[in-house]
Amino acid sequence: MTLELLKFIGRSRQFEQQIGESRPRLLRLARAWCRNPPLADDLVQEALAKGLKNHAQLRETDSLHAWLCGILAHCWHDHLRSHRVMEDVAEIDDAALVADGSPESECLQSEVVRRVRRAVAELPVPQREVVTLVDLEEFSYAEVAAILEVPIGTVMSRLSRARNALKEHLREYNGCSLAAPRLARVK
Amino acid sequence: MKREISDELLNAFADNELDGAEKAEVLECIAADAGLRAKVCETWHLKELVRSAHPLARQDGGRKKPSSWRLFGLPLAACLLLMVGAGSGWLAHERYDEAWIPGAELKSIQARSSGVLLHLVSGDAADIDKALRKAEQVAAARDVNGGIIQVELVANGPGIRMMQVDNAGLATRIAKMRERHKNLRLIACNETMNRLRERGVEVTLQPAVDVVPSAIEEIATRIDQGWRYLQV
Repeated sequence: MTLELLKFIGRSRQFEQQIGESRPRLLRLARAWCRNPPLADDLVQEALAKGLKNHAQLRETDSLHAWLCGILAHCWHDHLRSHRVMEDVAEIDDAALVADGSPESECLQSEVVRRVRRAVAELPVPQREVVTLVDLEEFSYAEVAAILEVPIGTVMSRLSRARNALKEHLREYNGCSLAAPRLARVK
Repeated sequence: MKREISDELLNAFADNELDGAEKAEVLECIAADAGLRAKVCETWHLKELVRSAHPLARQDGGRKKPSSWRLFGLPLAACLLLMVGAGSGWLAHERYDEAWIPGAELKSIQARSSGVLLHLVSGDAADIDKALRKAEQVAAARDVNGGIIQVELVANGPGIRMMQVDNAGLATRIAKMRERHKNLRLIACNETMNRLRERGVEVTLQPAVDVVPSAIEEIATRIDQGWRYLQV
């Protein structure tokens, strides 16, 4: 009984650590998807609660984060369905795009950051999901396909459309804009 | 016949999604087409723009301030685990350390490659660390005949940050690596340098760093020569 208890404590700590590592990444993803920090918090809490409830379904530790992202996507899609959200890019609140509660003030004040976030926010939901899963979370196309439950070909076409739209929106930055302030700062 | 390179395929290349043969085929097309090279560079920069514009919140990433989740969610996790029992094998599974090249891949490099080109696009500290570890891992290895393996660590975009003289800690680490491994070469992309200069940012590179006209052209050349390409 004591041995079982010790095993349980050890695993609980490992689980705590894994959840701790995943949570900020889920939050970043949810904020990029829904553009609404309080809603993003709720979605992540809901996803983690569902993950905890169903964690026995998961067998591979390495896929924990991807698995949680899949649950988060379900929660987000449920929200879109239940609230019949009609997205209007004209109503995107620029303040909400940056006022996400993070203390990265020097970064959040950047015009470039605001423009990039707005460009991502203006993408249709399916394209926004794919580009953030690939570029923020660095999932493979196969992992993104599994998370969103779509074929890999769909992932590739959505990604292509998303990147073309982003390149068009951000053409004036010539791709190097975010590098420049950081490089300037460390000089 | 020259293959048509779609945007999807070019994205797959930029995202390191292609296998060896397909990647080599795309690289061959890229090497012959300046327009494709520009598109790949643009995609790499776009990836970094998107990533840099969405940083992880420090509070969430750190462990200093207990959030409501840490206060209430983790005890809930413990309760649920207790209820479902401790029979889930995945909890004990070891994590794959992506800072190192897997043994099978390293053996393949030792058996067949003329050299290894590691490509760094990201300026993220963790990615820089991964790139340096992998570079040192290959530089210290020997091929099947006991010979050294040539290694190039090529950086463009924000990856250039690794090679700046201003970063004293990295400069020391890189200088020591270069002392230990004469077969290791660090290379910066001049296209990136030029873009930075156009924006009024003067970057001073560490003395050990060489500059090539374009990262993508260096990659294409090395692939042609039978080198292994690894994106970090």
